Amino acid sequence: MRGALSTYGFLSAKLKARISKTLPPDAMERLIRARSLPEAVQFLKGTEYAAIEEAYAATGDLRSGEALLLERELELYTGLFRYLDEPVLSFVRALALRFEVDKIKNAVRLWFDSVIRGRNVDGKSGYLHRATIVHAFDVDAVILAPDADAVVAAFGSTPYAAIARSEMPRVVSGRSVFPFELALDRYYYAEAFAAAAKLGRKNREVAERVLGVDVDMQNVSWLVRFRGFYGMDADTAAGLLIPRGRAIDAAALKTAGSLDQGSPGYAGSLGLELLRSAYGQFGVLLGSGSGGDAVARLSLMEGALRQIARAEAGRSLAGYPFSIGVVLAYFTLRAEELRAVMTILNAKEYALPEERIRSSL
Amino acid sequence: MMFTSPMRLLAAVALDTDSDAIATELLKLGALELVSIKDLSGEWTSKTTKVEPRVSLARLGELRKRAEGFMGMARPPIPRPIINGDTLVGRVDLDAAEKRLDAMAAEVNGLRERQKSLQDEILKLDEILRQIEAFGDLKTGAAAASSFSFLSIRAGLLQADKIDDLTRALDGVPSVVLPSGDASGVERAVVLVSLKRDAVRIDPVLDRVGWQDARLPESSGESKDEALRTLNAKIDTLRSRQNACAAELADYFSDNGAGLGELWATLRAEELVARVRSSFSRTDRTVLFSGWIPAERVAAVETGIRSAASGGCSIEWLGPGQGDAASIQAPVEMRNPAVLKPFEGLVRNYATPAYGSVDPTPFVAVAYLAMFGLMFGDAGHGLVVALVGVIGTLLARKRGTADGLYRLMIYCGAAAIVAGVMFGSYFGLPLLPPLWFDYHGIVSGHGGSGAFKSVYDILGLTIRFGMVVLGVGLLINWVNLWRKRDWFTLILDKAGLVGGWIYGAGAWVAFYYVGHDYRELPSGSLLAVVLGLPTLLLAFKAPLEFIRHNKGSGKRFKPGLLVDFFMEWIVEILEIYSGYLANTLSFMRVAGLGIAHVSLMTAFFQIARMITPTGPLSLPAVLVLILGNVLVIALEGLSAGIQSLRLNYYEFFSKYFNGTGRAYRPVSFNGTE
Repeated sequence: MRGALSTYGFLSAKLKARISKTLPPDAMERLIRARSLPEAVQFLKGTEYAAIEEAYAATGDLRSGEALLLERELELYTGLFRYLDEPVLSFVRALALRFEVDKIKNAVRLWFDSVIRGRNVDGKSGYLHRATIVHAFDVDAVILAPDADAVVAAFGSTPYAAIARSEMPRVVSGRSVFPFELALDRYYYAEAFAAAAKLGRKNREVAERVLGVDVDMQNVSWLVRFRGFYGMDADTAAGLLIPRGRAIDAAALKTAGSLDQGSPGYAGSLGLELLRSAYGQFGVLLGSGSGGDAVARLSLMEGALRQIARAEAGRSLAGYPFSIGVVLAYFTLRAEELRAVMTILNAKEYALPEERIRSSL
Repeated sequence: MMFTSPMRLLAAVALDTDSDAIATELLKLGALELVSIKDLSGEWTSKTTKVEPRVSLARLGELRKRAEGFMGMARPPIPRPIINGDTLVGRVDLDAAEKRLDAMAAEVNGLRERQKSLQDEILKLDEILRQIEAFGDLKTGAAAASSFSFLSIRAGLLQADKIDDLTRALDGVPSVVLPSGDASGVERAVVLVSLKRDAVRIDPVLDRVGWQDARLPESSGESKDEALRTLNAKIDTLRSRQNACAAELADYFSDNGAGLGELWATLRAEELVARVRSSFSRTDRTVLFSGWIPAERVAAVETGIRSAASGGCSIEWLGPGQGDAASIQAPVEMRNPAVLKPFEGLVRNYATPAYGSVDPTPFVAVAYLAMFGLMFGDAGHGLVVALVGVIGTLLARKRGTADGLYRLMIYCGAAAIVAGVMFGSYFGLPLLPPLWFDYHGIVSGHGGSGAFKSVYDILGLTIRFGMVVLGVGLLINWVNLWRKRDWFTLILDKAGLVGGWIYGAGAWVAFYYVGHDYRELPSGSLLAVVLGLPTLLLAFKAPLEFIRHNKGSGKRFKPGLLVDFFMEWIVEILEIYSGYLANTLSFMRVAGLGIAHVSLMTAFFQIARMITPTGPLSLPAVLVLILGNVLVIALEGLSAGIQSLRLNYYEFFSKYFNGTGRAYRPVSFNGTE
């Protein structure tokens, strides 16, 4: 069996070198303060996000840059596979499923808009990633499927076929992709936790801690949306949450009390309480009150969880370098940074004011 | 050049009305490193306030950065003009500048929007392309399209003279018009591929040109290829139009480049003047300012300030450590000729030397090149390295980027050429006889003569070379300590006179021992004098240090301290003996790298001879030699460069370098941020 040094040495060096290229805080500030989209994009020249500037200068389309960047990021992940042995390989492959799951969500949304809602989606699939990430399937066959059965067939022998077979009838009857997307999320986390369970004790603990924060982030948004936007009854809502969150999952909700005590606002307050109890040391990020509307609470909780995720990443980077923590830190920091950069640029495209951009970061 | 530049501290008072002119003059002179008046000791700080800038520094900075952003959008980027403070300062109208930049943003935005709408068209055509590619032929496509695809594939009959009308009318609608059948006929079969959602736009056009639906032609397989060709051509046309937008933008910047550069220069000059002025302190009517200036520029700066203030100013000059300057560390300027700048960069990369100490740059230059030459002694390889350096320097200058590394490569290449000529090595071949000794021959075991007969002689050479380097390091250290009047350290430090004595005596003993076939050491009494005495002298270091540091502090001597003194003495002895031995033997790597260089080349020659055992070398053998040379140049060049640096940083610098200095950074119109 390989030791920690040989397993994580190269990985740690490669990813830490890339982490060192993250944008400094003043670069984000400059992006936010840019007066127009072309000026904001210009700031990315010479940074890790130069691909956005290159593609934007050639096409005028922000999405083309984002797609190019995603392409390069995926190359990095899939490129890592050949340097890894089990069980770390399985874990990194499981993490890469996040990209695949997002790709499937986008494809099925296009199919749903076109076939079920009868909306015009032409030209919208241009930037979908078409190469194989982990499982091979034809993404165009999904988008062009004439019906739900064809969507299932398009997934071939991948695990997504079974998910589609079980959820597509509900997607069609309920006229919502939500059950399918939730099932995909549950699949992703089940795979990630299963792969994490095969790691050594210390690495497993780190992996489960970081994945737990991620699950909380998903569950927080679902929790408020289930009640606020889908009007779901309490038991159904609790049953749909993704398991193994550090603070929020069905079991935690059961212990904390019923969701039936009213409105989506109550769901938000309950979420806050659960988060406070699970993240005692970060409680200050969540504030002390429970007031405000559901959207405000959701945004508060999401923001706090993002900071917690960043803090976890910082903890992993500052600690023992030959562990899975560095990989997870890279995933977290890179995803967060990409999200922030694209949020700012999209906001610039729609000429949103600076304050609104800051509040959404 | 021998020592860092002597500095003087300027402390001046002038009328507030002249402050802009003075700030401009200081920036033009580019010699003053600003010091806040508050940092001076004495009476300077009382009753002074901060000078508020007349314009918003934040706004100026933001506008300047916007202008920089637009300059960077041009292909190639618009270079930053040299700022001439004579004409620009005081002319800026921030509102007008902002309007101008907004107009520029609108222009760029407009072009990007046009590019984006073209990109949307491309994406739609791409989608049609992907769908058509997915179908076996257009008939299958038509069947599939009728059920679920967002593609519409229709066949029809049209008057031949209406085909162009149809194509023109559908320009801008993602579609393909494919005429088929007899081109000379009055009526022709046409296949039209489009997106279903565009039916509302397409149907009236079809009605107008007299379209009659018909069955798809049998030759739909060919139609598919034709459709793909047509689509690709359309996509290419759209891409060309996108490129035309980019070219239009380039033209826009080339038309406006000069104006944009001038605007940037104006904003930058104004920003710098405001920034310098805001670093002044003020009373009701006067401003006070201070800063470090190299002593040799004092006269020029004083003349400049007096001229800007029309004589209405008071100027005082202080030396480092004198009067009000006592509390401020003087910055360090290393003044070397341009030829030594790459080596100055190597020194800076390590640290800035202490103020007033020996500038190590010339010594580093000599030591670095000598080490590199000894490790990489091949005239051919050196020529390649030097040529890469020349090309890199030219490219870097063209791009306006730093060329220090490439210039260093030129020097290293030249050192390797000289060494190669001395060793008679040209791409590993003995084309000319060596001027010194045959390195290749010695390593291969057949070329030794004179003083150099085996690799041990080469190892001995590098050890002697290392001793010279370390000796020079010690001498520099003694000069530095002499100038600092630090007599105690000069005498008793491990890199001081006693340490040097022990090192010199140790080296002599070692050579004596080797010279007597490893059988005889100098006499005991002599050893006691040359090594024992200085070692004994070190025993006084800790007690003397205790007395120096605790004089007047009331700390009393306790008998237990004797143990401390003894232990410190033992540690010092171990450090000196093992440290100097390790430092010296470390230079054997110079021989090691040189031997590795020769061995690798020998190995590649042997491989080439294995491919072609006799006669002229075959093509594969020549390729092996070329590849071998490339590999040796890349790997050994890198290794020799790194090892030379390491020997300078860790063996040479450790003897004398005190990196506590602070680099001198004067304000100027055309300096770095």
